[in-house]
Amino acid sequence: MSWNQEQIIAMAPDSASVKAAQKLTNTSKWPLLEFNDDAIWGHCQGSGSKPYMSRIDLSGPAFKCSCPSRKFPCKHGLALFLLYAQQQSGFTRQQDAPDWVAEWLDSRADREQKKVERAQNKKPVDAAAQEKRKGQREQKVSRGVEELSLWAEDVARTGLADLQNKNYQYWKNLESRMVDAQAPGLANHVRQMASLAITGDRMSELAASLSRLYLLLNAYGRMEQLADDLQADIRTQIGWPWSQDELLATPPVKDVWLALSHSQTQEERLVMQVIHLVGLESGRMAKVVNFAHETQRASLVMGWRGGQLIRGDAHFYPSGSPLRAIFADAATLSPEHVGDTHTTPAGISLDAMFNQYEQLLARNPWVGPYPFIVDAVVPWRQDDAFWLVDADGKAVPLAERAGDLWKLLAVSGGHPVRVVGEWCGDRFNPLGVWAEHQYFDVTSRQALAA
Amino acid sequence: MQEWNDSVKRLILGCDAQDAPWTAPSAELGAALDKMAEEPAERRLLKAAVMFNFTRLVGQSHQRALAVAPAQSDSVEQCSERAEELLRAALRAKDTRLLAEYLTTLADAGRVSPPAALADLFDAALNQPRLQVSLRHVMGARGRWLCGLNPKWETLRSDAPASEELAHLSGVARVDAFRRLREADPAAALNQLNAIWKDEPAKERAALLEVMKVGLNPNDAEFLAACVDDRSLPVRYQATRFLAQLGDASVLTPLREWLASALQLQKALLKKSQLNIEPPKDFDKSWEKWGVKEDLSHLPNRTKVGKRAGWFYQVLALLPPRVSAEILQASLEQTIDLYRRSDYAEAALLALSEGAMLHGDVTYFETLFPALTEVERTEYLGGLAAGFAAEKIEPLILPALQAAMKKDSQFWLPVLYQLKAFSRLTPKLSEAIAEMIRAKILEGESWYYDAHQTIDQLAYQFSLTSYEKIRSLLEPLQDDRTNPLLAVYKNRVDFHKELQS
Repeated sequence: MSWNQEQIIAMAPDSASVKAAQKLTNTSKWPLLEFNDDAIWGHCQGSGSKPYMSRIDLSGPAFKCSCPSRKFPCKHGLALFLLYAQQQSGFTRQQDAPDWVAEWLDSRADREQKKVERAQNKKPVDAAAQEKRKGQREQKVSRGVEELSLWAEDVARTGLADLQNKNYQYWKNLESRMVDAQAPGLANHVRQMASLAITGDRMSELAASLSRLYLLLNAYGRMEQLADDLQADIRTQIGWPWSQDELLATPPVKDVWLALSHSQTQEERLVMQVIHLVGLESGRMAKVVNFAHETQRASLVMGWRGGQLIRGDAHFYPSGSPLRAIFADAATLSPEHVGDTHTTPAGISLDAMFNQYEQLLARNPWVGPYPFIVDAVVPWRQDDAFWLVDADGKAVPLAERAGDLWKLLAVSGGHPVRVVGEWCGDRFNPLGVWAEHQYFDVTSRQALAA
Repeated sequence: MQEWNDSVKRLILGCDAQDAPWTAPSAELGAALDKMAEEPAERRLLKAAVMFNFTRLVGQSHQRALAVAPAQSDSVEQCSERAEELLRAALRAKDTRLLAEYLTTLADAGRVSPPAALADLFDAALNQPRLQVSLRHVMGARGRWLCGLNPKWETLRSDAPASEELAHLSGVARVDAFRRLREADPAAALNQLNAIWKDEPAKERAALLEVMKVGLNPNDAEFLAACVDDRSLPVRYQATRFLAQLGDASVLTPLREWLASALQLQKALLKKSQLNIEPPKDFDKSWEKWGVKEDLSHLPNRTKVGKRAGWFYQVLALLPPRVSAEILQASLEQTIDLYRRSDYAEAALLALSEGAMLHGDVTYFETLFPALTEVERTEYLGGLAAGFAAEKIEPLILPALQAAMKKDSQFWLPVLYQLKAFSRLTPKLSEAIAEMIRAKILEGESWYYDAHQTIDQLAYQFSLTSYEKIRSLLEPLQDDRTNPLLAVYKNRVDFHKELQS
């Protein structure tokens, strides 16, 4: 598996770590630099008498270092990886890893094994207790739904304009009550509405958000009468969690997946990671969403950057429009390992995208942005807006706040290209583009601004 | 869409304020609305909004019909993947100096920038006009097309032919463009300058004229002679300097006569001869033609100067030092000594140095340096960068470096500081500096933050051919103070190698 500088830099927790790591990308700082097929390891001479022992498991990649830094990966791990990418000739190939590396690799493998064993030898579930807990939660959720329904009707009476006058505490209280009702999805919905209301100039979006919420609250009341997939979507929207066991029990989609985009956002101390992928054989779209505390970035997926190939089993969250997934047995690949698999998946026309989205909307009214690969479209700029224009000259607007649209235009050069992005119902949010035999992730212009 | 807009308006106002009957676009939706007729107004409003929000999304399709105009194909090659990576790293680090070098190298190699980097390069060039000229040469057809779509970048592109380049640029970018033109074809550059000259304000004329030093040749004399009558004093002065540099008799002869009439030598034995300097008592308006200011109050080193000494300084600075020697019928060494002991010593020595630099006279400095103290020599080094390339004065700098390298010498950092003025250093100088830094690190010398900056800058100045030698000198030290230098230096070397391969 080959890694380039940009991909490695994108794993850094912040730009200061990149800067610090770059200062260490000097072989003279590393009395020991070695690797084998599974790992890279090295000693980095710090200010102390003993060097820091840094190691990288290439199957992740996963990092470990003996330094006391709380950043992850630390500057030593990043520097080691950067050096490996830049000057592999400076590393000595070894058949076997030394004990301090082998033990760590073994412990990682052990942990994985134990995870599997735990999953296999699980204690029998106390069905009665589980049922009781479920009943208690349903009662709480029902009360939350009822309260929010009354609130929505109140808003419809007094008008959305009235919400602009509400202060932060008003929204925070409402959100907290939904958290207390064990309906985090509803709490999230309230938070989104709050941000729309406070900005004041997005009334149409606020009205659409209120209408989607009201539909959800109504649907919850008669969930039993609805199809299984729709019930699953309502549960997801309410914020009912899916256990990993439940998800792993769904039939896997085995495929080689192409990572289309990778983004990380942080709200307070919570980091959210979103990765879009497409199955090269199945043509299925998948979205991986992970959360971690800022000090626990290690738990996030490393290395699944735009253009990266991953072999793995995707287990999709139950839905009328399955998209979010978790992966089992996933491993990153280099193109030569993929054999003849074509790394440019097929696209569809804009018309076909509208049709498919309508079908998704019919199956899941809360489908939201959904990724499509559209073919033979030209990214274009006119009248202070960005567009995607098809062969007939018909155009859809691009979402302005998304990524780097100028990069999209630059790599396409006004010629028809294959673009992947999320159709949001009224605008297209581009994630990447295939041009000149390459894939470009356009969700960020610079992986990490210095 | 109309029904959804209506729903939004009703939701904004609330049904307490407005509860007019709904109109449906189709019988099916009308029937659905009828079903809600018995419900309370707020539920009716919310359910109608749900319905019309869906009809809006389901009915969504193309919103505009647009005609696109693709970029033309670029006939020249892009740079390699590694070169692109280095270019991106320089953009990420906002390293303008490195970017400028990379773009110039790309332009010289006849390559174009990778399209994916164009947007970042354009944004960088907006803030750094010095990048603009090189960028115009490497943006290619794709870049010009992209600039045309973004009014913010419009100024960066020009579809004008190379022969009219200057007319389509302004400010620093135009000065840079003129410099490149002079480097490539001085005569063609002069033609372009002639075409815009009359319409330019004095400040612009002076800035452009200064660039004439690049590729200055006798064919420029006619244009420069016309500039001697320019209404701007800085333009007149600069033109006179260039004419003097070209050895133009119409300038040199009257200047020489002026100087000869001001110098009176009282000869004596045993180096006791005395030079009396007596410039005219009144200012002659005809001197303005040479750019001589009547009321020069300070010398360039900020020393206050009297009127007559100011005139003397300005005239002497236009002449090569050997003219003084010829007038005094003395050797250069004796001439320097005479001026040093004169009443106008400071003004005269400054003017001699300026004159030597203007006329590319290294001999003067070779004669002067042995008589200077280490402090004085160090102070001179930076100034020499204005008149000479490092190659030309290497023999003057090397002894200064060797002296500074001695154990406990306090001058090694001041010497490096002065050498910052040179954009490029020769292989010999680069390696001598690396050896000096190595010696100081091994001595256990410590230095302050501004010294780090001075040393970091060397990465941009070191000769590309000296990389392996310098790496072998500094890398084994494992010193944080030289690692950044080596990292940037390596990137420069790699970029050039990539473009050559």
